[in-house]
Amino acid sequence: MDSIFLLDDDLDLAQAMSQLIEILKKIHCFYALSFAQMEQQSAAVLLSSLCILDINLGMGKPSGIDAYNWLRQKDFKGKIVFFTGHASDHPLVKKVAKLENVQILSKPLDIAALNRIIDDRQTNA
Amino acid sequence: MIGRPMPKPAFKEEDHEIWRQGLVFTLLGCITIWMSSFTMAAIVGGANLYLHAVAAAQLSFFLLLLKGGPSRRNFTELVFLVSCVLTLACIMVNNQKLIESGNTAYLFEGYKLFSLLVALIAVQSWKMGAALIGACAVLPIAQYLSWPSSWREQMPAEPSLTICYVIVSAGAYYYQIKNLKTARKLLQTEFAAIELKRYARAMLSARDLSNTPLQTLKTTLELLKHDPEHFDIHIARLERVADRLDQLNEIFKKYEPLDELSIESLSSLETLQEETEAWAQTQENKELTAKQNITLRKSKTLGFISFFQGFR
Repeated sequence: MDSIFLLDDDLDLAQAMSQLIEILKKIHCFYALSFAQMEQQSAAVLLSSLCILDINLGMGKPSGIDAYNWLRQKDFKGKIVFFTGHASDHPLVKKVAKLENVQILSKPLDIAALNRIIDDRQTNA
Repeated sequence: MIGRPMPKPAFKEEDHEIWRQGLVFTLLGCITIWMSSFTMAAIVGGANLYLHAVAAAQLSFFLLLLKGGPSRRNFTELVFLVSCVLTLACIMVNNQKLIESGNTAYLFEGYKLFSLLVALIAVQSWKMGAALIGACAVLPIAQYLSWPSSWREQMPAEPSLTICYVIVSAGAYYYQIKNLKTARKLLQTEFAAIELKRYARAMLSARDLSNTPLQTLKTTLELLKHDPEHFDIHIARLERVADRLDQLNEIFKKYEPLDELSIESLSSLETLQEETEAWAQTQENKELTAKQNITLRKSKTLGFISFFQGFR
């Protein structure tokens, strides 16, 4: 079954986005609030077609970059996009910008743009 | 993270400079006057108790200033003025004693040194600086004119030589004051740039902190359209988002604006745009300011070299 995974430390946002994606796109969407929670769902995560990773998951905690590296180590086949509310000069965003074949989405993202990302997940994976 | 409001300095930089100049002047006054008591004893003879007394007074002025700190500007200026008047009085008395003893070799040396010291230390109040350098020209002339012609004949180079020194000192003093003003302007520009940077950082932090609630807001509004059955859940989420934005507002209430900015102007979008544009402009000017700083330092060094070369 096709699914989308969302990693964000904000419970309200994670819940709202996953619900919206399920309603609009009729695709199963699940989330984790931390890298540890993501690892706990590793089987489902690795089977998903799209991973939306929030870059900053809280000070001193593993970031979206750690999640990205983990996915690459596990040979994840789907598409990975980063999601952030930080400006482009934030150190973590700068690090992400150096990674190859990744897309960075800025919060707040238009629902239309979110739709496009989901629709394009197969083509760019 | 939003930066904490910058604490206001307890005293201005100018007050600090005046205080430092007072300390240097009184300490140098104490040392030179005390040493001159031995020179005078060797040349003229006598105990010269007045020199010891003035040296002790200068030392007490120095200690008073040191204890008072830079915040008491008026007191510092008063002490500095008294110190200068006492030094000039000592120079006058010394010159009188020298000429009375028939010794003209070191005549008016004190005035020359004093005027140079005023120029080099760059007395902050230009009126006081000009008055002190002027005194170094007026006092020797007055003394010279008060002396009988038999004494005057013993010193053919005076008082014109002293006047020459005073003119050079006046020129050096003007140069120093101008440089100080330029340096102060540059410092103010740098300070303004730092302030703007802090505001820019605060604005960026605000953006970072508000983007997640905004995304939740957008998503939940969309959910309200497509999933009205869970209306209560979505409204509860919107209330939590509003609370978070309120918290952000509370944080910004603690962030004090600059004195010259009114709350009204801070709240307007136009001002925000102006400030961000100004900040971008400051970034461009930074390089230029750095270049100007280097030029200023170079011109200062060259100025001092040529100034001292002129005395050879």
